[in-house]
Amino acid sequence: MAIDDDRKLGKYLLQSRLGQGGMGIVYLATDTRLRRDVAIKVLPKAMASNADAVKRFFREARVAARLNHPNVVAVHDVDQQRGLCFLVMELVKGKTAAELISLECLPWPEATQLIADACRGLVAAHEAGLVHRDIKPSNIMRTNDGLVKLADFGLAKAADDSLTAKESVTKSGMILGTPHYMSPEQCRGEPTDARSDLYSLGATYFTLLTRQPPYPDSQPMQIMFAHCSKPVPDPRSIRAELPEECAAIVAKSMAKSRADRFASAKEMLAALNALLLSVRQTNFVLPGTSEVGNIATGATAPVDSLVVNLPTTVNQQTAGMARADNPTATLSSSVRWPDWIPRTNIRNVAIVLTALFAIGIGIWFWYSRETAQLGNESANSSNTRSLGLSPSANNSRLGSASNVETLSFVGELPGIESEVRGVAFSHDGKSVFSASRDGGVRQWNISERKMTREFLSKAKDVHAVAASKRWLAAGGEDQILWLWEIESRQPAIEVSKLPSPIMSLAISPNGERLAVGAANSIELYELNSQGARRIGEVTNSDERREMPSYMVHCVTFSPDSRWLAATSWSKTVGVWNAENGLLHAVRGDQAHDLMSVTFLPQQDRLIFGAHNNEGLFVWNFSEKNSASRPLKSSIGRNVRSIAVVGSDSVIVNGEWDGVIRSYAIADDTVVGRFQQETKSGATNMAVSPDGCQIVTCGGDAKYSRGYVQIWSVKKESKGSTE
Amino acid sequence: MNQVTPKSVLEQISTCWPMISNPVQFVMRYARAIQKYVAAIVRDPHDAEEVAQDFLVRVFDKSFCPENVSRGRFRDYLKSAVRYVAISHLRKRRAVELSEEMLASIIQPDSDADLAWTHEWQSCVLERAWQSLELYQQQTKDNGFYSVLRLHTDHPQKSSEELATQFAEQLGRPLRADAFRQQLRRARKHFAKLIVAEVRQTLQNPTAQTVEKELVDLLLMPYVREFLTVAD
Repeated sequence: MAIDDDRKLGKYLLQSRLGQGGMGIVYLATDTRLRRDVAIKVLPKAMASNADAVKRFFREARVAARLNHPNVVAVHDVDQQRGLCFLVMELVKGKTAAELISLECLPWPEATQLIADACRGLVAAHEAGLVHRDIKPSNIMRTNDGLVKLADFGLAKAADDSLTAKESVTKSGMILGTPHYMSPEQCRGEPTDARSDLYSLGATYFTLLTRQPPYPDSQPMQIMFAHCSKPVPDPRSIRAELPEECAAIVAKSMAKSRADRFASAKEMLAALNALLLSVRQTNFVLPGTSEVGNIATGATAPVDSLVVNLPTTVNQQTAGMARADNPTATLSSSVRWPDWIPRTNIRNVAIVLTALFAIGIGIWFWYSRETAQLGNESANSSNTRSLGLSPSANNSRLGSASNVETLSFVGELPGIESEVRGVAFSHDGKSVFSASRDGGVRQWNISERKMTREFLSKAKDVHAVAASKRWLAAGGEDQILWLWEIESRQPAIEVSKLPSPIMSLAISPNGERLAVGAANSIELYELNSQGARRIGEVTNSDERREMPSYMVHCVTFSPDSRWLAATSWSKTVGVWNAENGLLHAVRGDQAHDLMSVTFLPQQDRLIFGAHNNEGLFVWNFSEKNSASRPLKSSIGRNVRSIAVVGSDSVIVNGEWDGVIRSYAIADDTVVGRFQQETKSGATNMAVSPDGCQIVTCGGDAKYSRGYVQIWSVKKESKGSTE
Repeated sequence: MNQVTPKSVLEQISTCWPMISNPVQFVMRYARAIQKYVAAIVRDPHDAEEVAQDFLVRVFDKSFCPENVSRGRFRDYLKSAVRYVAISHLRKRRAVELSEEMLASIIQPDSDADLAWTHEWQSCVLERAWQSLELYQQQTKDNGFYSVLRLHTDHPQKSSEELATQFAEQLGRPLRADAFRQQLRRARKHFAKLIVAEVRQTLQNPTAQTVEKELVDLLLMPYVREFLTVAD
């Protein structure tokens, strides 16, 4: 029965035909039970009639369905109905790499990023024991959000099995699609492995760089012969401006012998990342690949605040470029002064008047907000702003959400006589590490509230500390990044000396990355069994200090370790790919200096806090050019540190007023405020791995005061809190 | 001179060689040797390109399936086929220019071309043996033949202790130096068997004598001599 006769295929209703390839016809369909749109690939009948091929297809599809990776098109289902074999996949809206290069040449950083993202999908697939066997530009998709996804896992092998050995080669041009990306071993009909995918990915990379396949013959047999016998072509013979590293990656991935290729997708990804990072160190690649493409090719691109706030240019090697080197100059040039006014004087006067006016408005605004805020909190709380009371008495909860997190004061660590700048929980949550102005990096047993170890170093004024299961990192005024292997009790490793004092540190939840926020840079390190290996500086700084790396008070990783975020004193928050340090997105339009940031449980959202009473902002960093949303209930607060404690709640530590507040993000309300007398202001906060405890720290450097307070977090239903 | 047309030579190549189930794939396996040989006998790169294409088109069309052929070494037939496709191609393109001297150089190529052919063929046999050894290791539990032999080949100056340490790092399982040496001997033996198996595929009636002759001709004896009796 033809599909057109009956649009239903099991529980799926076929809507329209999306396309056709060698591996079958792709339909847009609706899952009638889950009521969601999906893509369905109906496989060729020749394959469905071959029992072995079907068996293999189901087996491979099951493995592919287990793959849950952002760079792989998700397989939802696989079924056989009315003699038709079909695969149900995530519906991806975007363009294939083949479509992207069909009109214009991609700038090489963009092509490299695309291949790196696809390679990341391959790493996951190979680790799951899945070999793709048909990597090519038309199987690499870039979504409208800029996410790169590999499609058609598991199909090639099944299709190959449905053919005789002779057919699989002699008819490959017709049945399996183009042999332009086939590895030599595939051409010879030999078993394939993960390195065969790397060959195909290398050939695809060549095509993205040059807009032509490595061996552009028209006859399949000749193409396969070339794959087996001819030297790997140099993409620079077609585009001379390409860097040597691009050619080197193509050459290694397309080596005739598997033993000469990258040993794994991970190794190839490292080479691609290194190339991308070198681009980042000399040039700024704009977040969002379309900006890169448009600007680098000289096409019209929307110049938004994002562009304006990044004063470096896209790689000018490929750009050829219509963009000003200094966008801020473009901004100031848009202010036109009458010629008869002496420019310097009038500008100075105007600036002073504007500043005075702004200060006046700011004071009025702050006062109004503060008053309103206090009134609002008072109206909802029976016990507000109590200072120095007992733990049970001084905590109030304002419950507007169905569940609220409430804090109970547990106690304070004893004997601290210096301002504590950083705190971090151990991986098991049983102890906490502190970093103090006196140079001490200490480990404390939480339940016993006593110091168990002092990590000695030559450090002075330690500002930040971060811990993984294996490593403890610390750094501060002396600009040295220190590392200890927690269990070994070996002396500290002096990893590197940064060009400026270290302000903040974070280790990714998977323990593989260490981020260092300094007064003038953000650096990324790989943590391995030997210690830390510097990947590179994820931002550049310049003399104008306009880059997002000025006074980086906070660095943090997303819960899935994919992203790194940082805030800077230059009114900027940035998100980087934690694997390679490439800038993903940046907001540079905040009014005030930013001090804190953390990722929210919802995908691709983060919350950051500002100095100067600006409060909190929520930002969906995956949406191109999306603005951040201020949390109105937090206006009037200096946000020194933020901790996520629930699905929709954050706890915020203010810098000067000593009050910890919790906010419900969706409702935009203050749901709790907690305070225990401290000798001075707060500097930092950490949440235990199980989310049941937080520690706050602070102090006063001038009077040699410091504290670390322990709080327990409890979730209570709304009814019980009011 | 015995007038043999390209077509007749191609038609002499048969799937009757014992193990060649897919001649096209087999040609791909020795593609590098063919490419080098074409380049050696047809000096002009443009001509060489076209000769290779012509050859492949004929292989694709004819698929080596004629009858009534005398058989021997597959590589000899392949070499003859390449040579005569080259003659045919050049005759077509340069009927006027083609001198007897040029024609003779193709029909009776100089020793450099033969050397290139033999060298590349040998390299293809070895590569095939390496691939088979690696596959064997992947498919056999606790087998480390490929890794052991590769380490020894890549680092001939290193001691067994050093190589055993490197092996342990690579494969994540400990191996003592004496165990490494034992594995190495077994790996060599298996590698020799794979070489012989590959050579046997290219001979019509592989006997101990013909296999040995082919191994000698291809300069592969050093790899298998020690194990020849077993391999044979």
